[in-house]
Order: sequence, then structure tokens, then C-alpha cells
Amino acid sequence: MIEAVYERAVVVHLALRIALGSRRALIGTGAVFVVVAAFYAVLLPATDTGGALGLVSLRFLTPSEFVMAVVMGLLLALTLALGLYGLRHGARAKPAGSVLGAVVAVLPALLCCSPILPLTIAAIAAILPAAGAFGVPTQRFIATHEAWIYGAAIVLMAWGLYSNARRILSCNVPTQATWNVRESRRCCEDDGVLQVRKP
Amino acid sequence: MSKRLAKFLPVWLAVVVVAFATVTATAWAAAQMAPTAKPAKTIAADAPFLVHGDKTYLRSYKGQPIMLWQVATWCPSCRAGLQTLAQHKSLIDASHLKIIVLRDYQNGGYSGPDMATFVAQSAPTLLHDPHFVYGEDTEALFKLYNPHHYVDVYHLIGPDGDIALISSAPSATFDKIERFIKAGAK
Repeated sequence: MIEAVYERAVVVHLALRIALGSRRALIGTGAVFVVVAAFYAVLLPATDTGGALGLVSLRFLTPSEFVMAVVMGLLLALTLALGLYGLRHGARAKPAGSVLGAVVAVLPALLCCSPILPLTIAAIAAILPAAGAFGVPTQRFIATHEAWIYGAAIVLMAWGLYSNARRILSCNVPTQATWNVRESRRCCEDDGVLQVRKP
Repeated sequence: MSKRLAKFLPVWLAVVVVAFATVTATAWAAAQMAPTAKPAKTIAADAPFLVHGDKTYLRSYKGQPIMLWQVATWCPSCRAGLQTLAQHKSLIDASHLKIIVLRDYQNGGYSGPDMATFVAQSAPTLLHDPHFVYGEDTEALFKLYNPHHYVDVYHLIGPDGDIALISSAPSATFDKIERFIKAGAK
């Protein structure tokens, strides 16, 4: 388990060294990180404000939410850097994990205690009365499983980062002799086959 | 359209959709939580609620300003709302405002803590404050004052029984409560 995580971390590290090789890429990624982390720093405490965003929600930012905002900002900014690098080199980006993670991270803040869900459910229930029973239980589930939902979002974002790193490496053979990366010829057309093993 | 751009199109689309959905949902929520345009005089209907298991009627508070706040004890914004009210305790105590905090009917179908435990855990300084009344929704009051089943909603009712404002999350909207207090609740 630890070895598998370590190998994936090395894949991400190698891919980031390639993708963030230029000063321009570093500055761009830094800027994206600041913007995304700031967005999540405002968004995450909105569970305490019934979905209201802005300075009002920032007042409720806790240290753990700040750490989560930084982690999410970092994961999404690095994934974007890898995606852009891959685009420039003809690799096909697969943003599903990161996008899904970004969406999941938004759910507790917007749906837990705000009027969004009750009003949406009420609108649906006008056509489909059975839907009316799902509003409060859904909010309750989100409110009582907030930590798990954020955990899932971070795992999805991390998976998105790893997937993009894998694609970058399948198109680039690192020069370091410590790692052996086998490149598939059609890596940029298909998913690519990547094997990373210890020397 | 270049081949590269076409390859990256799903990424752009996903980013645009996520951003649009977030902004739209946020704006919608903000609109819902903004002070409702005050309709022509709306008199608060009488309804019962339970305090320590005894039935009490809203009409018994007529003649004084009321904040009727319906909460669920599993709701983070309700907890934050109580903490916000505790921070403004001196302002509330200096006014005539009576804050009736009721646990939603059946607490939204989830047992959760009772009101006393919820208040003791969230804002213990408010537990014995005479400006606060804690109780439970009855089905009749819940249907009247929370037909959309919001988990955190309050009504500001003037001494004449006129509903001045319906809003949500005192943690984010205390400025409206403060205006209500300063407008005549003192």
C-alpha cells in the first residue's frame, strides 16, 4: 500500500518537474493556486453561513478548512499545469477526476443548509411528488458526512493529478537513471502504458 | 478550430460548466437569503409550539418584537447562527426582542441532539438568557412557517404581528436582525 502510494507520488513528482520546467509555467501555476485556494477558502466555511459567500463566509474559516483550501488549490493548480503541458505536447487530457472532485467539494457549502436544495426539490416535486421526500434527508446526509465528502473530493482531485501525470510521463522518458519508464509509441493517442519500478 | 483545441475542448467545457453552476447556484442562494421584498402587511398567523413539552401559542407574544427561528440541530449554519447571536448578546439583552428558537418538526426526520443540548454545546451563554425561548415545532407551525422545509429560516415579527422579514442563517444575516432591533425593537 505504502509502496504503491510512493510510486504514484514519484510519477507525479517526475511529471511536475517536466511540466513546471519553465519560469512561465511556475508563475502561471502559482497564480492559479492562489485563485483556486482563495475560492475554496471563501467557499468551504459557507456551510456555516447557509451558502452565503464572500467576506461573510471568510469570517468563519477554521484552520482545518484553510488547510483543505490550500490542498485543493494545490491539487487543482498542479493538475491544470499538467493538463496544459499535455495539450501542448499532443496528449489527451482527462479531467474527469479533478472536475468531479472540484464539484464534490462545492456540495456541502452550497447544499447543506442553504435554500437551494429545498427550492429545487420543491420545483421537482411539483411534477414528481415523490421527490419531495428527498430534500431534508439529502441536506442532513451532507451536513453529517461533511468530512467524508471533503475527503472524497481530495481523493478525486489527487487521482486526477496522478492520471494527468501518468499521461505526461507516457510521452516523456525522464533522463534520470534511477527510474525506468517504458514509453508506449502510441501514448498520446491512447491511454498509454506506463511502468514505473524501482531500479 | 485547431486539433489541439478540439482535444482540450472537454476540459474547457467542464471548467465553464463548473464555474457557471457554482456562480449561478451562489447567486440564487444569495437572492433567496436576501431580505424579501416586504409585501403588503402580512400578519403572522397564530400557531402552537412546544416549550418543555407544554403547548404555547405565538399570540401570547403579541405586543413585543419576535424573531421566530426554526433550526435543525444537525445543521452547521444553525450552530454558527447561535454563536453569532451569543456574540451580540448585549445588544439583544438591551432590546425588547424575544427570540423563539424552535427545532424543526421531527428535526427533519433525524433524531440528533435535543434543543437544550444543542444550545449548551453551541452557545452556553444563551441557555438561560431570558430573551431566548427554546422549543419544538408542531406540525401546524412547521407547515405555516416553513412550507419549503428550510433547515435554517427565521421570521422577524413586529409588535403588531406584522411579518417584517423572512430570511435565513443569522450567522450571515445578523445585520438585518440588528436593523430590526434598532428600528423599534428597543
